[in-house]
Amino acid sequence: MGFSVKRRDFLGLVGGGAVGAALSPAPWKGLDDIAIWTQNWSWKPRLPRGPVEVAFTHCGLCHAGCGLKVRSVGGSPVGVHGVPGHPLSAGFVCALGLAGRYLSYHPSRIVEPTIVGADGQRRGIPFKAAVRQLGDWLDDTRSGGGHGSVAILDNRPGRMRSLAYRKWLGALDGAHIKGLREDTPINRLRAMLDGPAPELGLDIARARTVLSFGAPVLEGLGSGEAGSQLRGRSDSDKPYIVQIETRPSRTARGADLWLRIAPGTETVLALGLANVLVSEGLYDKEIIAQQALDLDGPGGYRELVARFSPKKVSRITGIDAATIKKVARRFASGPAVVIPGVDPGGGPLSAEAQTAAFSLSLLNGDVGRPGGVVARRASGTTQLPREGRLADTVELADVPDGSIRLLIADGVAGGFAIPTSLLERKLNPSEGRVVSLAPFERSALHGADLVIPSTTPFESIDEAGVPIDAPVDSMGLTVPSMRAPDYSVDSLRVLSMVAKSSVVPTITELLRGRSDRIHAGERGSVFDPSKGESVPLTEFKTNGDLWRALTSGGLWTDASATFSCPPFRLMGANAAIRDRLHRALEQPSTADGWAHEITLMPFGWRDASGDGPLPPVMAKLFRETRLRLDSRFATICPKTAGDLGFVEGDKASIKTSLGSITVEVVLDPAVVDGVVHVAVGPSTEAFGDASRGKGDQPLDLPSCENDACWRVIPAKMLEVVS
Amino acid sequence: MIEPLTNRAPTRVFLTWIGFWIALFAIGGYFGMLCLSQGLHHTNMNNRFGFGIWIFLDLTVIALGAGAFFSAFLLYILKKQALKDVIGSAVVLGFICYSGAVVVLAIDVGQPLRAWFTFWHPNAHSMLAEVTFCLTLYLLVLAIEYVPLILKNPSLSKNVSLLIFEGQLHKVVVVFAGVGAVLSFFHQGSLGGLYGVMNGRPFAFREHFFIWPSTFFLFILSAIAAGPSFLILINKLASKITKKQLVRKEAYDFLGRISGWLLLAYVGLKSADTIVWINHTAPASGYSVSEFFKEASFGTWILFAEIVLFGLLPALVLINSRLRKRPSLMIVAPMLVCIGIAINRYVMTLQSQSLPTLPFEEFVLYTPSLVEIGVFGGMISYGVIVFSLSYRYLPLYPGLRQKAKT
Amino acid sequence: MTKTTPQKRYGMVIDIDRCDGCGACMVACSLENNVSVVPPEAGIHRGLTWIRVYSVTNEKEYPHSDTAYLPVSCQHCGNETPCVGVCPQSAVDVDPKNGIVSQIPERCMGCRYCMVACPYHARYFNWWDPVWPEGTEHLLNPGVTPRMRGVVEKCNFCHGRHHAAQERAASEGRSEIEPNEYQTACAEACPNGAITFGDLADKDSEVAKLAAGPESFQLLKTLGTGPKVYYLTQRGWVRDMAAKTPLPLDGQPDD
Repeated sequence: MGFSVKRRDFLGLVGGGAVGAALSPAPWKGLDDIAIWTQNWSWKPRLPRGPVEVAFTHCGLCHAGCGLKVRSVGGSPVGVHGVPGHPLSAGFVCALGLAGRYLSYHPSRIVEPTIVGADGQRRGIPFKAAVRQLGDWLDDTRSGGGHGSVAILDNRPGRMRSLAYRKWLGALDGAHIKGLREDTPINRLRAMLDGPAPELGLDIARARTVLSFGAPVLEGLGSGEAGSQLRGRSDSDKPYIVQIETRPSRTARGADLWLRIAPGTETVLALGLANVLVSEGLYDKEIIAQQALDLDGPGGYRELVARFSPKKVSRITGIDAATIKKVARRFASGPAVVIPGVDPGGGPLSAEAQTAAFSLSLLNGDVGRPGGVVARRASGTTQLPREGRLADTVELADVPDGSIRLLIADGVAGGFAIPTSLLERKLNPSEGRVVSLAPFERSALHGADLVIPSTTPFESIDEAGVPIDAPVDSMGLTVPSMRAPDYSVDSLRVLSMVAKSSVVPTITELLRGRSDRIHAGERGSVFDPSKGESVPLTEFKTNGDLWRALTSGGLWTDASATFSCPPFRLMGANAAIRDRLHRALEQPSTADGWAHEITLMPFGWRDASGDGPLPPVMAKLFRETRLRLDSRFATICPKTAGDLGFVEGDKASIKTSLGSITVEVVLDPAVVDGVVHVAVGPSTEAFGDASRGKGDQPLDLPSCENDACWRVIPAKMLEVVS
Repeated sequence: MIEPLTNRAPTRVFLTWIGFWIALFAIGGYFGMLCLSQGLHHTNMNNRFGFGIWIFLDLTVIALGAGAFFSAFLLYILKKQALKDVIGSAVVLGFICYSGAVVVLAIDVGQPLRAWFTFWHPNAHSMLAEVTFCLTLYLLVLAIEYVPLILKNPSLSKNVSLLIFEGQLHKVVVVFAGVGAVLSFFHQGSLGGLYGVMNGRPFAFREHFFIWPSTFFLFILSAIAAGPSFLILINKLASKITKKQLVRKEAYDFLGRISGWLLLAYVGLKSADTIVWINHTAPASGYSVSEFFKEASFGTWILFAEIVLFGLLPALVLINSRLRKRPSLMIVAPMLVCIGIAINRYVMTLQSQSLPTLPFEEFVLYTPSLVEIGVFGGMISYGVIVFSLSYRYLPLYPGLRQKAKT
Repeated sequence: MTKTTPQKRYGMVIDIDRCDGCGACMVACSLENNVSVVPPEAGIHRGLTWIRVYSVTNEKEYPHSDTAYLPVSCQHCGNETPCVGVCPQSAVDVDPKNGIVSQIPERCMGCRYCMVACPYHARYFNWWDPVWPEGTEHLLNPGVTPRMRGVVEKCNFCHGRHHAAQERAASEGRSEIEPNEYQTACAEACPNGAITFGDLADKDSEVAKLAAGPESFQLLKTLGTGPKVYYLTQRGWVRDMAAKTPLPLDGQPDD
């Protein structure tokens, strides 16, 4: 019997097989597998895997030094949170702090030392060659230069690191230059006090009135706690915020009273307020009688302010006389804080405006009074052992033009931008050299002759800042939460490699030294972020215990000190400033004779690092919503737009004799007529990048010739024909 | 080798013609591949405009392609023999419209490989799931209806088994006409339902009858009104290009009459629907209709154009037997009808998205990108190519001699 | 249709008067949920912002000018949720246990019908591949899967955190999570305490009390979508602008 397969059998077999297979789980499994594959076919990133570890640190991105809780996987920080109960930041973290860890991978990160060659081209060089070059330049400068020919620009003066800088510079007869920071103006107040003054803090939380001259009070000024104190409390017991600012900033919009002042007339308004206080006898008569050294007499303060009647001041500042009187009376009704603001992009007020503003604090008897200006105990804990000479710390504005032959810029994130022209004017025109020790390219230092990559705040140990409103001294550390890349180097290490005469300690030695001295002082208390509570310092048996607490993200805070106001000068000791106060009613002349038609007022975003880079996710605030405008936009009021022939969305060019920027016009009825506001960075076109290039950024436009101010820039605004 | 039918254009002329469209199609194809391989950022759609011109195109061609199911229904079920002349072209047109729409949809969705999840995890409440099911099945029906036409190519019909197969298929064509009618009915309706059910978008949301919003019925009615007009238009265009009388006057007249009366009914219902919407539906959700038309780009003129200029007017022309006799009006009126339907689909798809619902959101206008227009053009050329090939190789028109060249 | 009563009804109350538009919520949300950053050319309508802060001015000149900031995320509609019914392949899910409306990105085919249907413009499409700067992938939150190109995503009340809290509770033998175990990233990050998150069904919760207060309102309440995000303001113009009030139905027979 032969076995033969007929066609019919074959078809039957195939058909039966198909039906059988369809009833089996196989096709369903297959479909599911396909489903899983189609669900993930396109690219998406791989997530970190592993156990989550929690550590505590402080944020080093600005001087507020907020406490941070960091969740890490495999040594990488995957989440950043506030620390509730933290004595300074009280759980607060700003957007920049939340996203700051991404900065380490920013495209503008400097990954190798570079030098500008004879041909003007920048090229990479080995680290050793960079250090050798720096050493050679140092030798050149030392042989030829006088006092201050070597300088370090320190964005965060007052740290232990700054002391090491000053010591290093002291041996070289160099200058320690303060970069801009929020509390820079407080030194004007210290200069008004007769004799040595302790470190001062503004007691915002307990003030009855906050008189802010353009300070970003509601946008993260000072510690996080100050912010939540000002915003979160009920109306009845929170300070009354008077914001004196031309720009409709978020603080201006959120303040209890917004005085939209004419550009650059803060000095006049401050003296107008003083006029009301003096003429109505609202000042602290006892203190003034005992301590004021320059109230009466010819050219005295009384004579000065008498000329600033509310009526006259009203004409200049654009704020009506009744409001000036009302604000002065409110101000005098209790402890008040005066904050001459430093704008992250617009820079500081003029020296005379700062002086005039602080004279109000002195008049009100607020220096040394809770809710006013309080002293941080001069505890000596920040001092290095006194050996060798320390270089003096000076303001950038006070550095003589053309005096610096070698400028070493410590590129720590400061959040404040300075104009290219200001920096350049301080350099020796023929042999001024700039060395930038920075993790990122920054616009003002774009043309640095030598760049050496340094670490970002999340990678290196350092001191966290002491915020402007902290009533006491403190010590918190930025404990590294990620590994510093091999190409980055600590600034002190660079200095120690080129130091010929002095021994430069490491940052850890410096910090440990301070920690030990604090321990020996037996004062204050230490906050433990993992428990959320503070214990007295005396409970730490050994200095090692304190160091361990600090390197685990703990915070030491000093005990508060009492301080009585010493004798003072209401117009300050500086004759030039006094003279400018007396001439404050004269119309300022345009510096360079440039026929202008509009006033450019650059500004910066408080938590978006003035001219530094931006974490990519923060670009969402600028690019993916209209919440914040970056440097591509210029805001003017509809009337100005009408006068100049612009409509919303037009491209415009803003020009001064130094350059021009191209911007898109945005209308806002809250802006003053004749003023244009442009943000100084970030330029979010290139992945949240910092502004780069030269001659096309807002801060390339001011000449800064008369003083070190660039808030008010006469300019032209022209249509760009595309 | 499949030969063209006799009486068709010389090969050189045909190649020039088809070459142009193939080039256009290739551009569209390239743009489509860009979207598939790199993402939909090549389009100008955005988070406010989730639907762009592609969806508008899909809705419009599917409405115009309704001629296929409707003529099949009239011819095979209601035995309207006048339609014998156009049924071939109707089926091809329907196939083009539907298959083209499906291809464009595949480019339009972000994850086309997951399109089958609609069958795997269907959401029975979703109008779009209903559309997808009916559309896919009806495309199958159209393909089945298309096959006998292909098999009628003289070169193919030499093969006996294919001829037998064709004969078998022909016997069941009635069944498919019926199935097709039901499927089409539902997906035309659910396409309208897409918008009418959006309770969050007061511009689109409409009153419901049972589970169906009024747009469900309006879309069916407008589609079967526009389908015949589109058939008239395409066949007249084909006649013009080929310089041949392809369809008898009686067929045109019948299609025009049908289109006219259905359109009149549609205009009546649409007006009633609009009145209810203005006075009840929109205010009930907190919006005054004047808010919808306050932007200059979408004034009330668009409502007037849709209902009167491109609705009532051509309807009145088409129901009048005297006016239907005038050849120029028999082009203008169907054209108006088709434009009117396109406006309706445009309004429902795009105007409804321009208008913000949040009071502090902005009015957004959208202009399609080159890529979108390219794909749009590619689909049009796909239609021309398929129709041209069908005309050249298949006996679309029973009136024409259809022997192959020997 | 029978409705299952959710055991919990998670919701949010946002105090507009406390919001100063700093955007910390947007940044915190994006970091928590691994929301990718779109290329610069995206513009404001092609971004990915699960919570989006609108700034609205009263269009008046100084000194009467005023600005309100309105953070808008998915409103987690509790009634006829507009996006749920339209999705053809069940990629939108309302959890009956807690009312959270979530998108299942692995199932979404990217037809964007839900985006068209959403009255709050709170859904976002991945127009690009999700890209993080080189080297930053290991900084992502390990608890939330990033979405791929071509799908829709939106706020899910930090579902990853909810999931983690539930797992933690389960590992300790509890079936319910405590209120303080589950917070959204935006509520945690808001420096002004403008966002309160919690269980609306729990009458004693802060969020329920605020939502029931006289200053609270919902966006587009008249649409009847029953949003579970409430807003507070004392400013009249903000309320008039943001809360759509029902229109009088002229000559209509019903109510």
